[in-house]
Amino acid sequence: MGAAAYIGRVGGLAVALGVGTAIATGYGVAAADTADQPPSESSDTTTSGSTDTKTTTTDTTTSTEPSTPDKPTAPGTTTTTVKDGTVVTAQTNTGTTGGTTEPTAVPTETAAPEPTQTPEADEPTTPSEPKETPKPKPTNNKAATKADESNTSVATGTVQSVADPTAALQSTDPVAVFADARTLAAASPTMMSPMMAGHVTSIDTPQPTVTTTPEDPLTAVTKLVSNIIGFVLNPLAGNMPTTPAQPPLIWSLLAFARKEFDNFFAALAGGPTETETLDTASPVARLTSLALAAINPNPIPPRPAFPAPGQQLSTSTNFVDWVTGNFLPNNTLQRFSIWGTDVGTMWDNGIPDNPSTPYNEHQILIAVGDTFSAANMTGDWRANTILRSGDTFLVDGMSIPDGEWFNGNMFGGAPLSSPTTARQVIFPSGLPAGVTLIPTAGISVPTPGTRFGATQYMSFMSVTQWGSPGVWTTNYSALAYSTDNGENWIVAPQSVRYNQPWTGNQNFQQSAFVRPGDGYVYVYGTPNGRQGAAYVSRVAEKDILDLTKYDYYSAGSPGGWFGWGAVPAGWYRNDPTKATAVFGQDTGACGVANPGNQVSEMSVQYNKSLNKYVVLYGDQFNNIVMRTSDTPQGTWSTAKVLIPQQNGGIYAPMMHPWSPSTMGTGTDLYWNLSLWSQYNVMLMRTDLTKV
Amino acid sequence: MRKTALAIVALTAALGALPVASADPPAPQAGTPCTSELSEVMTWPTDTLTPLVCVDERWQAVTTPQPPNDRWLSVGPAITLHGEGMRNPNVASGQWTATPQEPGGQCRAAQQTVVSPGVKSSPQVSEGRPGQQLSLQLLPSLFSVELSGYCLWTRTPG
Repeated sequence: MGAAAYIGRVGGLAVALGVGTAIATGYGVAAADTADQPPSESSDTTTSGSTDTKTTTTDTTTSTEPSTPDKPTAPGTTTTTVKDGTVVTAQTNTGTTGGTTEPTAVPTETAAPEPTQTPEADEPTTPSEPKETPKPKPTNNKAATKADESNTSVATGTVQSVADPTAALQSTDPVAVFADARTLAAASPTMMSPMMAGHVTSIDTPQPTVTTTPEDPLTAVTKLVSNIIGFVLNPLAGNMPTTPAQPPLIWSLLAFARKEFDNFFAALAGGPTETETLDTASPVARLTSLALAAINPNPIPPRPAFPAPGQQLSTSTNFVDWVTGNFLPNNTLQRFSIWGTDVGTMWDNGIPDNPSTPYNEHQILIAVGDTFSAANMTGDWRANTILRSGDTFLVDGMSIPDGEWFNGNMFGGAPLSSPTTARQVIFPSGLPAGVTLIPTAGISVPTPGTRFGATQYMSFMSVTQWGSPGVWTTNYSALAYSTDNGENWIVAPQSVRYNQPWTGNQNFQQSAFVRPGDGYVYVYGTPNGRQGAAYVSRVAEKDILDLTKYDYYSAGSPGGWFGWGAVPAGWYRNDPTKATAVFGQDTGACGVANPGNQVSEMSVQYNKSLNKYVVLYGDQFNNIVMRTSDTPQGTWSTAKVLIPQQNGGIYAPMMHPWSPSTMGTGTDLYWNLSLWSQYNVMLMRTDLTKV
Repeated sequence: MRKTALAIVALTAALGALPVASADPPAPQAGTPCTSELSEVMTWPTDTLTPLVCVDERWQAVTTPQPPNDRWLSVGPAITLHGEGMRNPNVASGQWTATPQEPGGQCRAAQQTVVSPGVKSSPQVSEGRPGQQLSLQLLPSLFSVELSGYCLWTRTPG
């Protein structure tokens, strides 16, 4: 490159940076008065236990995530090296969850359904002894695994410091690398649709590794400019829900500035410039390719303006990123024909990784409700479907791998009906249909001898009619099961609980499962809609499909005069009418006004950091609240508000089973949340030390 | 001279076509005025995530799910509303009347009901005569209805 080229490049850089910085500075000043909180990233750094060390470089590490363990790669290539490393890390994590180490149960799902059940007549009147509070054993520290992951080196590729992303400028690496959060996440090949991948020259970019290259003046300049750009590219992270999104002009200018900046320093270092490195698929090439993709006739829309990734929605809780939607990071429209969906209840599939396969079988299954391929709940409609994720690093969101179409792989991003269409998995199966079949909870139970050694159970409700917000009527709830990682489901007719008020089953129309390891599956229930309380039952794992084997918890009652009619507290076999509310039914003059007085869609876990059971749900004010308890049946604590109602309408908080706090490795709790206005699922993070 | 004449003819034709092309009123937007007669009426402009409601003679964005509304305004292009076959329905099933908001206006509704979970019926179309009210039944298990024309849609009580 001649001197003139340098001059031109410097000039272009100066112009772009000057204009961009001016815009950015003006914007920042204008927004300064409304910012009472520090940016969420710094907040994360100071508050999130095991994730602290990586929080400040969230987006840098995004590209190192094991997002696509399903994809076999050709040996001998750089990609293979990176992904092999990823798989190893994932295998390490496989052993960290309790799901695969729980006591096994005799498989029952292969038995023929028994339409005629034989209730045990002598059991309903005799409460069984409530067992000691099951407290699952702590599992291996997942944070340690993440640390290992962050230290994983690749054989070739760009050398970059996680702590100082720009320090690599002075290494042997020929290309300056900026650890911009959004762009690297966007460039992650693991999150790209095939269509998007088509725009990117190459997605097999060598991943950065950890170095401790000392900083020098050039690096300092690099960091300064990168920080400015980074600030402007993510101005909403934190606490400004009303701040408007940046206009495209600013993005364009800053993208241009970044490109020029990259090329300028690359040229100074004697390395190839952007145009020369396109074929090497460097991050710069990715940026360029993404920029080219941006002018494509069918560009991927930007994320919705609200909430912004990282945005703090309360003292304890921030929005992490979207799980579904026709935008990054997962772009479920192009890959699964999912423009919008909701619920997103999650559970560990309990399937250990098989080292002989190129992908990790250990995943989270994510069940979603009514699903559409076009805006405003139009287009191709599926009443339910399943998504999958093997993402263990949730700080930067939850990635969903591509689908696996017609190749026998049951561990793709979703069960498919076409290469890019997630399919409905639960059908009426001869039962009354209603208008939809909505999953409400799922659980995996070990079943040795089955294909993958675990059977997935999903509770769903048959809705007959939707009413005003929070009001709907159900036909029944029931269980469906799958022995192939949620690819195919069979409805168990013997598990149907018709919504009949005299049976007690009306209180188990929506469910939450927890399997603490004492041999039982605890099944929480609420009536249809969001106006009821929560009840709890339990069943031996092997009997989960047999309603006659369920015990229902009653808190007891003192009875009338002389104790006539008294009911001792305890578990009652095969009598749902004995179940009493365990939470969500505050009484008294002020009780009804307390947060958490009504229970909507909910999820329950045993939290190893708190050593307590935890439930999340939406209450009568549409707050998302949390309660804790030492035992599944309670006594449950008063409800604490995690976040209040948000613009657009929030519902269905569904906890992630691989949250650091759930695993006992940190204090962060991750959970899915549905936003009605977008009609998509978001990933949220709560720092339990701030609740 | 001939070119001038052709230009005049073309310009006249273009101008003549303008009123037809702009027959629909401007789509309501949040913050724009609405008449007092439209108080509590909702509408749903294309490409917006939530409906608008006319309050205090202004169109205001709805920020949370609302109960089914009994009066909706369509201003020309179809607006898609959901019935009791979808969470947080916008309209309730029952008897409805559509009234054109301009002389010669025509109202049209295309309903799709739920056949089974994940399966919708083919559209059932109701269309009024120009300038005439349209009376129609929004069907039970209504999944969605597309309302078009510059019309006010009102649910009949009872």
